[in-house]
Amino acid sequence: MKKFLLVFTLTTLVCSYAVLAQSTVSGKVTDATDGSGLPGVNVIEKGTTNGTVTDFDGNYTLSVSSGATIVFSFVGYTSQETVVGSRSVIDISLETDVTQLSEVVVVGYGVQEKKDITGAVASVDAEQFNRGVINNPAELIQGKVAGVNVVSSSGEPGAGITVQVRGAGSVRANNDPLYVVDGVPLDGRNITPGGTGPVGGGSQSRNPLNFLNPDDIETIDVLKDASATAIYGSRGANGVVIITTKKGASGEGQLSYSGYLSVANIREELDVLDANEYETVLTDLGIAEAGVNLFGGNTDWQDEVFRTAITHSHNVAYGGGTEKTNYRVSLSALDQQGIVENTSLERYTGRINVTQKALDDRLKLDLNMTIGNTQDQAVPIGDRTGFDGDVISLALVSNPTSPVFNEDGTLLQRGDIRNPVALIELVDDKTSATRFLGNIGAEFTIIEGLSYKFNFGLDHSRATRESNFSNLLTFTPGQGDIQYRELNSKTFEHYFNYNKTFGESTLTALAGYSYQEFRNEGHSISATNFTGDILPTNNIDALDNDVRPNVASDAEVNELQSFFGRVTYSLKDKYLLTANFRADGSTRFGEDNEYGFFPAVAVGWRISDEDFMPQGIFTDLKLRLGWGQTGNQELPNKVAGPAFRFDPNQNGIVQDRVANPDLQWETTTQINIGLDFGVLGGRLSGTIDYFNKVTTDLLLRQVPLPPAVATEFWDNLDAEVVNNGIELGLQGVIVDNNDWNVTANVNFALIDNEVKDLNQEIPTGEINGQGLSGVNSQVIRSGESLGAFFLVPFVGFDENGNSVFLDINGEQTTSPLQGDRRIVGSALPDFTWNFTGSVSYKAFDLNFALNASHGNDVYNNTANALFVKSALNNSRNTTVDNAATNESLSSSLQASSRFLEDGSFIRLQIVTLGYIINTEKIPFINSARVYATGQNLFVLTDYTGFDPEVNTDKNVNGVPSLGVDYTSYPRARTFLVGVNLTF
Amino acid sequence: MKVIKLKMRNYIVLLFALALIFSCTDLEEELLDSTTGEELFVQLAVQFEEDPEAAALSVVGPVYGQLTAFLAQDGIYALQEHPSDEMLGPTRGTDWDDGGVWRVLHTHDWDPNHRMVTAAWDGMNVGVARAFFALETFDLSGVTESLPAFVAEAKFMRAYYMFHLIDMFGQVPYQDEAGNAIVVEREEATALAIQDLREAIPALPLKADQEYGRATQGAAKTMLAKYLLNLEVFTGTAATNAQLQEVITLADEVTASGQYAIAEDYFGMFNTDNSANWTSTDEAMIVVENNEDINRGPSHSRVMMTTHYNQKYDIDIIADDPGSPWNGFATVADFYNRWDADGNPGNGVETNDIRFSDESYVDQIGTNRGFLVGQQFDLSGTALEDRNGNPLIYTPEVSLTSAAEPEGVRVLKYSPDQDTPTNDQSDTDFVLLRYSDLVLMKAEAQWRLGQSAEAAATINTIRTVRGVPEITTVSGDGQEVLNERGFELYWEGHRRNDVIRFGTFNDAYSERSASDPFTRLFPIPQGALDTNPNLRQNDGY
Repeated sequence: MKKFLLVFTLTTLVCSYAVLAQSTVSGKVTDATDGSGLPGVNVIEKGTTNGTVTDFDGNYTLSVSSGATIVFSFVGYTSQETVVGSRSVIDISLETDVTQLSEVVVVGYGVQEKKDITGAVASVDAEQFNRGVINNPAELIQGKVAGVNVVSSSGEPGAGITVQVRGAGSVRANNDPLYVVDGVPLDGRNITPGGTGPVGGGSQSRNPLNFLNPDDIETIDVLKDASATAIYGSRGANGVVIITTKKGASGEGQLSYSGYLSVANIREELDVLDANEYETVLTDLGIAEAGVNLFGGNTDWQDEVFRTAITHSHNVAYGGGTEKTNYRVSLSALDQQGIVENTSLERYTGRINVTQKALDDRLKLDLNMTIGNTQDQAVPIGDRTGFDGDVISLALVSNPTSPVFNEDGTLLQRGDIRNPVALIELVDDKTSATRFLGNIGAEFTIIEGLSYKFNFGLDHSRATRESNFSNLLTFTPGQGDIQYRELNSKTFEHYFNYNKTFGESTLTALAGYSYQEFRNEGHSISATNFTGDILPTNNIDALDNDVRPNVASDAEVNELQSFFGRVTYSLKDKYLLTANFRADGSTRFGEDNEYGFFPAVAVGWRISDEDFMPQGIFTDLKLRLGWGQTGNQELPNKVAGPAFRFDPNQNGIVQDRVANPDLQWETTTQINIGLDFGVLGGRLSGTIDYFNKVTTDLLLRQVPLPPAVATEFWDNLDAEVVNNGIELGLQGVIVDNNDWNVTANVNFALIDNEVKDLNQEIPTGEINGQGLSGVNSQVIRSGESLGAFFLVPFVGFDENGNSVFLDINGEQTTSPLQGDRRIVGSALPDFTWNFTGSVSYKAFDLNFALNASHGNDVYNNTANALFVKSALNNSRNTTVDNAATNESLSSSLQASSRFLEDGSFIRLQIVTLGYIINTEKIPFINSARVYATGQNLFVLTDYTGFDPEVNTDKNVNGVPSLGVDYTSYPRARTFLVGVNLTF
Repeated sequence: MKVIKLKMRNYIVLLFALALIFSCTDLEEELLDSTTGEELFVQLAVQFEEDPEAAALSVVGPVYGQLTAFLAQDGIYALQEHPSDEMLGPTRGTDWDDGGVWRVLHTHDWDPNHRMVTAAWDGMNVGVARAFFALETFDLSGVTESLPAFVAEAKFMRAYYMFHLIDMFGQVPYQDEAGNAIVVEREEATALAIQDLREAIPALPLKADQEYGRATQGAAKTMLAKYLLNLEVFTGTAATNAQLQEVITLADEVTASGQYAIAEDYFGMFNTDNSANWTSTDEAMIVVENNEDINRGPSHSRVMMTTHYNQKYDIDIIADDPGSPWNGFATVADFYNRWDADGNPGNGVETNDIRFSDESYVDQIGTNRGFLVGQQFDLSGTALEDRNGNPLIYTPEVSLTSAAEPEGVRVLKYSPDQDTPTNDQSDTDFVLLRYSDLVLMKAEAQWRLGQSAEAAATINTIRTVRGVPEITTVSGDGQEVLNERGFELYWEGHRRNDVIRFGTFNDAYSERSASDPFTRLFPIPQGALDTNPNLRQNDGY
């Protein structure tokens, strides 16, 4: 026997060295119970990271080394292994078995089987994605991963999204994770020009990932702990989101279509006084006066600016392949109306993914290309609107007795306040952004187990925003702004993968080099004094007198050069070790700190495979321990070294900031302890993670030591931001039989955040509005959490209706000072949870998802700026609730805890009812599913604004705010019907 | 098939080659929109060879650039005016509370986090630093000896910025000989600045020989006089008789130079075209140059910050829709009433002082300049109303914490620029230092020397031009000097310094009680204190 083994081994070795052959295997994976094709099955060459997943019909193609064993695995089915031998077609039917758990997870620069994972990593595949009107990949996984918090800045189509993985670690901008699309790490910068026109207080942020078509996405993997993200070094501190797009499956080409039509409305308007109530209130107050504050009309201004919005979306994809070539092409179109009049987002995308094998399958070429064009139509809704108001604030405060139009049909524009309908009609603000992302990869097998991969990625975007402000609009000179921004980044990566199984050990190793360059440039033209009705941006030199157009341009470039490696070792499939390392060199760092080093190590122990474990209790039990260091290098360019430029405003050459050659990345050290388990025959499985994440060397803009030629200076502070948390994810299969399937998933996260050893107080959370200039609501202070609200405590109104506050000594006062402010709350929740349930019966399926957050406060800046009784004195409106108070008509709108509200909520995010149509009798249709979805159906909350899940950008000097709500675009309630077809 | 394979190999080689070409970096940051310091000095060295004056101008220019710190209504200007008896910013219902920043300036309740305290500190420190940088650049370029006038300009401006730091904060960040950042105390800083001025004076040109807005011998002598008069406040030791005598001498020298005269057209100094006035009959010495071609900041603030929303000016920018001011600051009732010349407080303020009111602009903006009181009218002569439909009648009495829209007498000293394309592109220059100030400094020195009749005579040289009766003497408390400074220089950013020097800064008056003497210095901004171990917080904060 021994001799036989020896001969066999030798033969194998000789063969493999002699031939170095690769062969292609294809086939179909079916469900053993009903024979239907199983999509999403992991097909892996045993002992390697080489693998694929089956397509919609269960087909797969995989090139394997000769003598390979293929492992077929899928959640809820018993894995099967089969030796390829000489076969080129292997069909497999999998038995249902709820005891086995095995999936492939994409980690940086490779894939790993889930059972071998030692870090905190979550994988969400297309099946589990949120459905509905979604224009951003982050929304697909909202509520799907414990510890990942996805918050839209507003309800505007294409609005910016804040994604926090395991809490905020940085006191300044960018707590967003790194996004990696098909292996290309993206530049996280905004691709569209921001900036402000003469009205509306700026624009609200937009998401740079809007160009990706959600229907092209196969899986989204989230790397949460440092042992997983350290492979991305100085960009890994905030977690890494890896997006993998769909690839073509081998076999006959298949055409698929998906589409939907939706109708959306505002979920809830705010209860402001209507015309009758307004007149009554003013009369009771003794200030009613026709022509001054009563104009005889009856206008519901919210009805005037909000509308029923129609959205439709279409995706067509065609994919297929041969033994050597796989391809998938797709086209999509989305036409989304916003619930505010004249706002919309149109998006067109195209994608081509091709895989080509050559040189006897030793060479694999990958090509992924996508291009997306988004066209935003916006109205003035800003983050920081002042006295002149934006569409939302004006819809709330406009006098309800004022008509929208004059009798002659023209817009009624009074001298003291803008008409929000005029703001919508007389401003034309459109942005067209095109982004191309492509990468080509070549993987070459040098010898068995050792491969070299080269990856070249190109990311190009250009966006033009044209804003026109008619001179017919009150307080506006007739202005045209054209802004252009272009981003270019290049990625080059070379890396080697090695894997080897010997005895009971499996070793894999990765070593690589990466270079990225990011260029960012833009220019703008702005001119005023247009008359008449032409769109200024179509003819910006058509001015009626001597005009001084403003022109500006800017350009910057930064580079990143990195060396990275990873070793994994597994003994007996039970004892697992992963070590990651990355050295990142960045042009953003000071010359004395060119390279940052980011190590991580993690171990795993599959206890369930130990002999001493009794059989039958645990189907899976794995303990994971990890430690690692990662960085954050999201500081502006050009802050480490000296930079001089000519400034005509300053009569000569000036220096913008003081150089700091010691400047470096923020360092985050994270410990993770995790337990994966499966019990009850695998019907209940879950993950518990505890983490401790400490960020030091905080990057912050500081005051340089005067006399200094500039007031800006960037430095690393010794202070710490500590995030401690517990994450729990549970998946339960409650019923599973031929007709019925009932499952429930729960995620829970509890994160405690604290700032430590900070020797200064950093203001943020700017409050805006008339009479609120320069007022801030938050402070970053040692011993408090990020997002701590720092306000004067509000007691109530005295007998005269004046606001009464507590001063710092606890005495009541009506004219508080800045020094009377104290910490009164936090924007961070105590805990968050999500519940996803699904029930299917025969061809019907029902899914729903609840998202919830508890213990977080929201500062209602909208109420602070608008809903005070003195507004009535200025012929403006307020809420019914405010009008009912005894607040005095001359009370000021001092920012205070009066406007800080409990932002806890439970939201029914999504309900979907689907039906799979029997297509056996329809010859040209392979499968068909129809569904109806309701999005954002209800929210249980005490918050009085439009929506408690909001994060208006209120940064101060780039230090981000959290949980402030100001005239944000309300979130829609959406009803949708859709269909998925394959032909 | 072989051929194809070969090609494939070629592609791989090509990819490798491309990858290596593009993907290596020394991590040296490339600047696309600016230049590193080294390049600058190389360029500058060449320019000093070819055209030394132009090179020197490009070095000294940015030192003046920091004067834009005085533009905004909510920066250092506010700190030099609001805490005094001539300006206050009342909370008006929903408007102008701004977290109490204006209220606390009037009541002297500011703290180290007050944003204007930080803005003033930063603005002046950058000015000082730019002067240091210019002087170092001259040194490194080896032109300190050959271009003394430019060196003198930088020193003069350093002394000018330091004046405000000494005046407001006491401690002054400075550089030692080795270029290390240090902090000098008030007394030492004063001595350093006086030395700068003494060194600068002989090298500076006369106004006639100098470009508009740049430093002159007259301006430097005026600043030196100002320092000498403030010695008691700045150093704790009163000026000696010799030093007071020097103030008189400096003033006489400037007068004798023939470069300046008390302006016949008082409001002309504050007209939009005032940059054309750099003549021997004009008073200007230091100005913030505004330029309608360049957006330097809130250059319309002096107009917008005070008058009512409905007092719209026919500014071109808003051709069909005149710009709406902000209904903000008013003057303090006590200060307003001080103008009353007929001795009858019951009939309001009666005065012939041409500085009080000027009608020359009524046909262009509908209102007078100077003090705006009573019913206001638009350009067509129609009585204006406030936003609540009440007549827009400005009243002297004004509540600090809950003022109605028309409360408070407004002050419109500068004319609105009627050609400005935007609110931030006014062409009107702000005057920071002018000749009448020096004349009144001379009078103050004479009074402090006990020469009250001479002091009165000096004051009368101004009063006669301003159309008001001469005075005969100056009383022991110097009230006539302080009053005349108020009448002449109101809302020009001098008042806080003046009332501190005359000892009335902490007095109780309209809408405030007496305050603690420690408030004569502002606190060191908290942010500066946190990051600079050489600073300590001023007493009382």
